[in-house]
Amino acid sequence: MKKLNVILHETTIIDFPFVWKMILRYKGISFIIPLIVLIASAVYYNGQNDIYQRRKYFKNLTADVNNTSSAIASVLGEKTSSLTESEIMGLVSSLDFQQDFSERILKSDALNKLDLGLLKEKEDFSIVEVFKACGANKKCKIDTLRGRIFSFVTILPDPVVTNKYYIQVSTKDPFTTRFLLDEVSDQIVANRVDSIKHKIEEQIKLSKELAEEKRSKIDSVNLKSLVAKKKSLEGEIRELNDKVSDFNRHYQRLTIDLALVETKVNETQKASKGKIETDQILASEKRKTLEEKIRKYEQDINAIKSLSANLSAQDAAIVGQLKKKLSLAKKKLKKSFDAGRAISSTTKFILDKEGESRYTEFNYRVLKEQVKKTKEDHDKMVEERDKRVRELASVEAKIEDVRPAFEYLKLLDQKIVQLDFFNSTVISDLKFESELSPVKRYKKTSKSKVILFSLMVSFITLSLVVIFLYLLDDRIFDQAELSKSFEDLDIIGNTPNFD
Amino acid sequence: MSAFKYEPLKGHDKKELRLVKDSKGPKKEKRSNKFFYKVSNHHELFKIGQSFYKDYLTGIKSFAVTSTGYQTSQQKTILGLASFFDHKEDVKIGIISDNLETGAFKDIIAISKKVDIPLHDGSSAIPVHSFYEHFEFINLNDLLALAADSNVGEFDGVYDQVVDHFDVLFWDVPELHKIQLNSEVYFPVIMKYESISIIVAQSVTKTEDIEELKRFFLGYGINLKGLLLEESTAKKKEESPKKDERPWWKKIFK
Repeated sequence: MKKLNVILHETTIIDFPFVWKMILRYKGISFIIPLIVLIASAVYYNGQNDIYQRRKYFKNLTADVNNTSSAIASVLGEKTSSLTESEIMGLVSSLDFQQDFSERILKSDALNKLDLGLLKEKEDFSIVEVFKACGANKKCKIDTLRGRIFSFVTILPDPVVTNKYYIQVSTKDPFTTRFLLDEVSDQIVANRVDSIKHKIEEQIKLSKELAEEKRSKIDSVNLKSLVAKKKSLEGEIRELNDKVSDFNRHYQRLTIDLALVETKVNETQKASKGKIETDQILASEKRKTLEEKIRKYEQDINAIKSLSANLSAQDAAIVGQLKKKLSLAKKKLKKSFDAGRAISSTTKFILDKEGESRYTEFNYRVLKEQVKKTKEDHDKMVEERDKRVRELASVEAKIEDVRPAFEYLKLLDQKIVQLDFFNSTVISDLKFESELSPVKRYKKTSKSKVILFSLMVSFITLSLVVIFLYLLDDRIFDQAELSKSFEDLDIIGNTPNFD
Repeated sequence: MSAFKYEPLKGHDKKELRLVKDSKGPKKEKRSNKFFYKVSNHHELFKIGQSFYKDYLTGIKSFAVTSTGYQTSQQKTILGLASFFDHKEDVKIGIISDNLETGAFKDIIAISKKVDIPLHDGSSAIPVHSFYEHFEFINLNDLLALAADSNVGEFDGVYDQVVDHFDVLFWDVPELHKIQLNSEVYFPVIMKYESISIIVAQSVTKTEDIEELKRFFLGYGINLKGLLLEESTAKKKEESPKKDERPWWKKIFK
């Protein structure tokens, strides 16, 4: 326990200076252990196979808006879904891809030239030996190839350029590396075209199914007849609106006329009820006679005067006589002027109205009947128009119901055309560079790693061994150790030495 | 004669004494101790010497030095300490060892003068090798033989008289297995140790061995002064009388 305390440290757990002291103490083992580890590391390093690694870079075009296919797809309204980084890196991990590729390699004439030996295998590779266990079983051969080939192939993103990746193939043979790199890139391109085409074809199929469904829905409603009916109803409503408008104007005019006639009738009836005395009538008659006489006297005088500018004596006597009579008549008329004229007028008015009364009432009744009839006709027409409007609304509602389906169908038809076009112009969304990277020759575990590992192993092993030796070693090596081992005793000092 | 004496402390009981330098004592002319200057690590010698000297000032005078079988290291340490004391003070220094003819003492013994120290009022004597008045070496076996002689007073009286004879006494402790084999013989000797120091040979001595020594001497109630580290491992390994009993895989790597 005391010894363990010497090894342990409060902060670093292990007291490294003490371990170093132990290493110096057990010099032999401290030399042998690193030497053994170094030799083992050198043997391991030299025993590793040479690996030939090459890369082929490619770009993901779907993420690039400037490429042709995405531009066409964009114009056509097609949304191109770009591959994510993980999807690209996982392309060669797909079992379908691996299966197809292994089949392709199995059919290839170059198969016998390939060195598909695992990177750690020391023995020379022979495809015949590898396939011996499979016999004639093709699936077994494909599985064997798949297992080997895809341990050499990886896809990684370019650390510098965004959206750029590379396929990396590492094998024991430079030809195999080159061959696999070309074949894998070709297979990826073909695979991507197939995938995109498959996707578009699936979209076309789905679009057609959907279009068919919409079409049958639209056909069940008979949209054409609805549209025709709608047009017809719209025409009828327009006519009815005109008629209602005309009737309305006519009715208004009649109403005004009726009001006028009604007033006339009322006033006539009032007038006809007025009282006229006999004296008043006689006075009125006398006034009329006087007025008639005056008019005739004046006509006669004027007639005589107009016949000749120079009146004869006879004529002048006649004129004088007529003027006398005229003057007399005027005097008489003047005497009965007020009463006579008023009565005359009243009498004339009453008499006129009495004459008109029946006629006016007749007109009123006719007009009233006409207004009533016109009103009834107008109301009927309005009712008819409202009925047509309701019918039109119903038809429009039916049309509106099927309109989205109809619009959708139109869009689907357009989409199908677009997809057909796009399907015929599909290219791979991954574009490979034609040039490969130079061949990189290396060993699986690099020299620096081996050295680092051997140093670490040496140090750890050495530390463990010296600690183990120290724990087993009961000897006292220095004053510090002595004081720790015998804390209850003083360390006086070192013994004197004599020359 | 000792250059120090005990005198009562001021204001204390007469029984409480302190060690002071006896300026009135006779001062001997000594030849310079060349061994002191032969020490290559004077710094270490001064360090451990000062430690022992402090103990000496507190009244301890009988210092034992042991190890897990490194006699030469023990002898060199004792020789170094004795030289330090000799250099520091004019004191009478005694060194008792069972191995005077070999190791570090061998050359000194060869040029030392052999004299006798009278004991029991002159009725007996013990032979000593005096090195120019610097140190006096006593063979432990002679001491044990004298103590065992039934004709010579009390059994452990010899040890008391020998201890009293010197101002500072260094015991070159025999190997533990020797003591354990003859514990009845060594017991009175061990009881004269006032302080014991253990030499640890770097890279050779095991913890377990030190623990064994520690347990053994603490069992006798001896004050364990501390540990001395012997750095010259390679040489010690050659000198080590013990067989390397480590497992084969440990021998390969170290």
